[in-house]
Amino acid sequence: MSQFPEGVPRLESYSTIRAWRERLGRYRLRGSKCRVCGALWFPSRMGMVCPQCLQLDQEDYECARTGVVVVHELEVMGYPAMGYGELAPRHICMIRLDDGVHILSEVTDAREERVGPGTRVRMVFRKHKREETGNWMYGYKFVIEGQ
Amino acid sequence: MHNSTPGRRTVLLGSAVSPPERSVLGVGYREYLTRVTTEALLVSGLGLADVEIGAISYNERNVPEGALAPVVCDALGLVPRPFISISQACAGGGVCADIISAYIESGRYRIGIVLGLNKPDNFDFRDAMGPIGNWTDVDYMLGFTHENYGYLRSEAYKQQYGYDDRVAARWARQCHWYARRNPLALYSQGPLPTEEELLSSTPAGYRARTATGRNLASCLVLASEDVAEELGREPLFFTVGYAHRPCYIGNHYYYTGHPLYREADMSRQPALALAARDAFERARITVDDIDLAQVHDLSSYDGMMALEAMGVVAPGQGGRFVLEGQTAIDGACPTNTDGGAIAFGHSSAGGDFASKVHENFLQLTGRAGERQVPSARTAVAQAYGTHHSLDVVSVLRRQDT
Repeated sequence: MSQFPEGVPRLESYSTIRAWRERLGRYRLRGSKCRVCGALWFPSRMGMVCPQCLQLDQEDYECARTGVVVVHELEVMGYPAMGYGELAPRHICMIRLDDGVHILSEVTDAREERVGPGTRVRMVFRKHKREETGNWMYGYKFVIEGQ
Repeated sequence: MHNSTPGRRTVLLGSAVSPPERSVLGVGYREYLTRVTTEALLVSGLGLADVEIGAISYNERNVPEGALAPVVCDALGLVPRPFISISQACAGGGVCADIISAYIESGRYRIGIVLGLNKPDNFDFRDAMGPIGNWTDVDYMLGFTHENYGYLRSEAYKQQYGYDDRVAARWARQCHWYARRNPLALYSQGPLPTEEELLSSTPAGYRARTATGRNLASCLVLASEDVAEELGREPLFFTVGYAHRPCYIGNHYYYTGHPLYREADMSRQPALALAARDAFERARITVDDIDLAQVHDLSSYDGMMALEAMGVVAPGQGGRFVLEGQTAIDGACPTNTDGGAIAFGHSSAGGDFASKVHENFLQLTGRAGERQVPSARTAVAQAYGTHHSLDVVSVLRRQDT
């Protein structure tokens, strides 16, 4: 839910169609792989140019679902993203997946002292927030591996 | 990268920025821009009739009008002259300046203005600014804002080079020292924040070490050097360079699209280095010529990374440079003499680049008052947009004697 009791119009940044169209990146960590040079990309560059070889030949690729935290932030700034106020403070991390892809994500279900650079994590699928249309936003988060 | 430009050079004849007001609720953006434009033209010794082309940098969510150029062109009475609008985040002013400069150097026009606008009372800040520059499908939609990008970048820098928040507090205190000597700064008055306040681990402490938003309208008056000669003015030569980096922050690691980016991570700014290299080459200066610098310090660490990327100090030495007092007025490179984003104020798309150029203009014309850097001849200004997916560096220099 939003942190506000009333509906919050977000005219520019949220679209049900866009959220649906681009769901597989958020649900399955689906990125892309260049068929020419093998470079891996997340977010997906399907229909776009590979920056490494400048060829237009991507295929779907599901990124590794385990990795390691390389940079960690316990979000204490006091102005979380809309819809995330009740979840603060969150562990926001740069994670290097085991295939070398780097992604920004949240490590959830963890105490503060257990998350930091070097922490092994695995992907989980979680409910995020309700959008103004009433739709729930789902997507990846990470938990500490073995947990 | 650009080829070096033979022939005509661009000079900065005048500039102005709006005074520090947290709120300008009673002023529409057209009036706000008109005020600052007439002021800059007055400083330059020119009038509106002399302006041949204009450009404006803004955040497209600042105003409901989708195409700002015709609106502003009309507000200034410049119809039917050419006008360009660019929405390219906090460094968009640099892109506007580069376009006007290119027109001038090509010989097509002699005199142009570069405007900037940041007026957050026109929009809902939380939803309008949070996703700026992100790859929103997989970050803003999952609750990550560009503020998170900035915070992680600072953490990466501290972790990479072993610094703690003492260096950030020192940087912020120096910025506040300059701001108390700058009537245009948001924090031009009041006591300097204490060490304890700046080192606090609370949200208030974090904010004291990072940028404070402000309203701002800005205007730079650019012209070909022969205009300065006609006006009997000493030319201040102006050069801009800019470069991009991927939008998604995960792609700031080992990006293979350019050799300089392959070993980079969030703590290094290769686009900024490319922009600086381009600007310095075309201005025919080296880093040793720099007398002072204005850098984009949305966090203190961003300022240190900028000094490193421009070559003022080696990678990882920015923090030590600050602790040694080298950014102070008597240091090796006085930095953010206007107070920076932390104490002058962060004016986002419309102002961050122009306000820094304005400060360099004041410094090189000897009008910086108590914060004047003695004998300053060459000054650089740097801004980034959308967490370094766009980096801009400009050089302003007095004529060689």
